[in-house]
Amino acid sequence: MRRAWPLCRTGALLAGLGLLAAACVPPTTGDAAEPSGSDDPVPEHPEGVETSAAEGWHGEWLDAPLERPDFTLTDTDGEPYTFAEETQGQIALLFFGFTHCPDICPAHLATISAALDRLPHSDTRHVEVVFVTVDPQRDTAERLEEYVGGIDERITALRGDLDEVIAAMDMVDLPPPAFDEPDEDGAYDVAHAAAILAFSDDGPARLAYPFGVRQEGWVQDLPRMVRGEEIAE
Amino acid sequence: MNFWCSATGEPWTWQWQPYLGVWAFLLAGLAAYGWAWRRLAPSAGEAEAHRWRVPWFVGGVAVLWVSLDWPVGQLGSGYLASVHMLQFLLITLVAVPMLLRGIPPWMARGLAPGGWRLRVLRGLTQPLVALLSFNAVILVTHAPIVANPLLQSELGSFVIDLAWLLGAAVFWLPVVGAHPDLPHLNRPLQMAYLFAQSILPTIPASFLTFADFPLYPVYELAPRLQDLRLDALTDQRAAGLLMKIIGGFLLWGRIAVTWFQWASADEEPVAT
Repeated sequence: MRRAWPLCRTGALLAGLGLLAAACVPPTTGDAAEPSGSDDPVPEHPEGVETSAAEGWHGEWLDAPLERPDFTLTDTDGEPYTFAEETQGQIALLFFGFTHCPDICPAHLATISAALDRLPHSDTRHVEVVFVTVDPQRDTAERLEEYVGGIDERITALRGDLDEVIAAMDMVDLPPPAFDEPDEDGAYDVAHAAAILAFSDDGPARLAYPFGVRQEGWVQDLPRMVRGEEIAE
Repeated sequence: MNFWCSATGEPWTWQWQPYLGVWAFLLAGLAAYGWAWRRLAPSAGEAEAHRWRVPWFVGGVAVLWVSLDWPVGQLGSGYLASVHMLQFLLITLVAVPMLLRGIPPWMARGLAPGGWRLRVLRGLTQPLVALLSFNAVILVTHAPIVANPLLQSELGSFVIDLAWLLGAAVFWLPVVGAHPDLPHLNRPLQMAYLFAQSILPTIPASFLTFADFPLYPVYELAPRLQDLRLDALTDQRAAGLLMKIIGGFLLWGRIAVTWFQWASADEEPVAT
């Protein structure tokens, strides 16, 4: 009679594999506060502005409200777009990103788009989503139009000279983008703040939405903003 | 070096990546099978008589390899809930029954000859216990509160895959009857057992299909696959439909095979 297969060896094998796995645990998915783009350290939130948990909201409370910035850039039709004027009386979600962004920008925009799909027109008609490219060199008007068209045609995409974009970011205390060195194909990554600033219909932004806010969070928060609910720490 | 496929938050790329743990796991399985074949066969004749089982085992390992390794393993762990469900179906409803079919009775008896091992296995493979255990594994490993954190580490992802393997082995043992000393259902009861299993996952599948929002942040916030414009909720609904329809199709396929085997056995002339 042959000897039976010792199950303790199976256990030892599995335990060994488990320990090996434990030794190889990688960083976890999408830290909500991680900036988009390259590895350069770009702060997620507006510079010098403290944020804290906003009671009952999915965004983060801006301790000092940000005034609606008065910048003018160009939309995908080549027409000038003055942010403060065009979004006056609207809930404005302002996001700076770039179309070659491999991870956070498309997921952020797709999440908002999915949330808008879930809300009634009576709410969404009061919401303006504005995406400003921080990479105007590659993001031509045509590319921007194709990009946002592929996600949601309700998103307004803007571009301008890099200096104009940086000036617009400075108005909301966001740090300028940081560009990686191009590789042999000319491709490069751009680090930029990943928060979406939510401006209320009467002017200032009280909330910043970091990456990680889910569809359900937007679906709950946007109607409250439309109703003008008070945002408090 | 990657050990096991897991969610990394990195953009998806079609560039091949090695997962050494997957290879080590599968090679260890093949090596153990080869070792058991040589060491546990009571005679050369017995080994020869069961040689037809080898392709079943190797085929099961091949299905496991496809399910666990890049690209299916990586897509399923960190990008698409529908691919995660495909992995689940391949592992639990295809690979495991093939692996068990590849084990001759003398090998099964050699692995669990008696004592506490056999007692534990006998308890677990009581059909009702096996059915409930497997469905408990399904519920727990698909619960967002469990799956989401586990999928974000290689060890956690490994634990999910291992739970599927073990849960499915317990479920299939009463059907495949790999071990002569464990409960083995007759064919009508096998069909009833498999039918029950084709119904029970309707509950988790319905949660996935009819949820108002994506349930798994790991898939909802994953970097999008640029070539595939699939939003997170549609992907999740596809996962639910796969669980119900493809899972049901596989189980009903097996029921059909069992029915034909039963019918043809009835028609065989009785030896006198």
